[in-house]
Amino acid sequence: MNLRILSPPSWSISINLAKWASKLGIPLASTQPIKGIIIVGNGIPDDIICLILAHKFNGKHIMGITKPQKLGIDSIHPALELIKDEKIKNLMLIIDQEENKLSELWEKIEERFKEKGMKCKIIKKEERLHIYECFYNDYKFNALIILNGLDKPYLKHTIEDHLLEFSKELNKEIILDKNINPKEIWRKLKDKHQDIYSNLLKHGKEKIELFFPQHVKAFNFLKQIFENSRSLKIN
Amino acid sequence: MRILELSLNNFRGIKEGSINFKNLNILIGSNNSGKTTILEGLFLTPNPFRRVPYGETAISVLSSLHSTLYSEAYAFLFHNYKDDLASITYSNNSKVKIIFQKEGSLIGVYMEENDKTYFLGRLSRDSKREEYDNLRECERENGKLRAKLSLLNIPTTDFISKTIGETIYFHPLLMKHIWNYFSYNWVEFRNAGLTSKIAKKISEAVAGEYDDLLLEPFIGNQQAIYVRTKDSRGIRLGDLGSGVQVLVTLMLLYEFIKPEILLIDDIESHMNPTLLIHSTSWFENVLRNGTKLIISTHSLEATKFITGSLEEYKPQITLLALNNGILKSRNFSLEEIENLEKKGIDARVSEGILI
Repeated sequence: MNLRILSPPSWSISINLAKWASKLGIPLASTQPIKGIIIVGNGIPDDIICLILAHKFNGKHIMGITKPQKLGIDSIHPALELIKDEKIKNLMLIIDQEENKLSELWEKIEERFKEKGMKCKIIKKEERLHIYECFYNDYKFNALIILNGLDKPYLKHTIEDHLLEFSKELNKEIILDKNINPKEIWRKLKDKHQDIYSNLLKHGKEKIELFFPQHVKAFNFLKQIFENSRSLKIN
Repeated sequence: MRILELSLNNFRGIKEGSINFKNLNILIGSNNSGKTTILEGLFLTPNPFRRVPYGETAISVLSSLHSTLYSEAYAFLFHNYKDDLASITYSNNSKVKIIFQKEGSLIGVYMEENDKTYFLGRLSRDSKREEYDNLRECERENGKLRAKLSLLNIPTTDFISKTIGETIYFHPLLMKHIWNYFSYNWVEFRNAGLTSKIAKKISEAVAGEYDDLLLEPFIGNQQAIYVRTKDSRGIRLGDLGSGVQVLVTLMLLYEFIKPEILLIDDIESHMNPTLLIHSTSWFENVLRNGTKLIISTHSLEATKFITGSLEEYKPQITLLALNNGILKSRNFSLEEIENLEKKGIDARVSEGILI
């Protein structure tokens, strides 16, 4: 699975994806048909993780990727409008948990779907991954919602939870001060980003799943949908 | 309002497809999505053999534009270079259809309009040879069009379809052809007051005050086009930059011909936003004159600026995509394009989900 950038070229998500795709040697799709759309509610570096994971699930299918102008949970409405207007069959939405309690955040997310007149049936429920089968009038689509964060004592739960844990695994000398915003720590590791992403690309799926469990499961589910598997089991 | 529609069959990269137009249209889409083919189809429709202001026939201009190395052959008109029949159909209240029919090593070119079919001329499939004299009536024989022997009293090069009227196609690569034409007809431009009018208009767009355009020798005996400054100095047009050359050329061409439809390919190329602003203000004059304007661009900035500034002309933005030769399109308003952008979607790169 490869990604096709749908946002304007001048936006930071487009620039960032193009830059890292080139650095990591991952091809980006250009005019091929799109099977679904990934919305990264918090932008960067979630987009790079999607780039790498989509590539790991290397198949011929293409997912579009973009980030609406609104951030985090507020990106749900524009994402749903897009699904509704353009009849997109598969939505993967990635947002940060931040300081929110998981149960409260899931409630808020489901409320956003209701506000847009969508009826959703949950078909897979994990702590930070919900997979819904949704209906809008007669239109049916799959919504895979991923909340970034791990059960680790970070100040805020974001994609950096995952990246920092993976970085620590690669280099035991990295010391993480859990009282500092993980985004700040990740920024300080700027010189190591290429090495970390390259390692992520090199490792097997099982290893990556230890650090990005909800993301890997969601991509696995998408792969099954695209390959028309009858039983949509999540390993 | 009349619905203007262009349908293409087996013509160049488009196996099949149609598109509708309003008075102001912006075509967007990826490379090789059919934008230029549509403009070229409209350029040929009034009569591919008519003389156009490039010193040649319309079809010959396109052949030059498409040649790579020394490959000027008319086989390029057919989809995949190998089909036997291609057509361009333009309709409003009435309909005109240009038909390219393979006839051995030649291509017969016909026009159907108002229940009449004319033979216009022939083209060579494997060279740049064209054959035409006067129009001829046609008949069908075994499903194929065939020209009658008797000639009508209308030279082919002077004939223009009444359904579509004159169309002018502008592409920056055609500038040299156009300037050759200008130099042959300079006195007409000058005496029509066009050179001074356009020089003044250009002064508003760039830093400088000009009062006329001149055709005079440069070094030795080589001719050059100049803008004349208020203090009577001459500055070669080419030294003012490509964007200014584009705009001056376009303005002169339009003002001299006053076509029914003005077709502009890649409007943003060579243009700084300031020049785009001035070009857009000139487009308003074009539209006010009743000319339809069809512009292709890769720039969302240009798309938004032109459609936003010329809102009263109810512009239509059309996203194009070609899938195995089948042309697909979707029309948008500026508001719809902006709403998509808020959702993170750039229409130019997202035909995969939009069409």
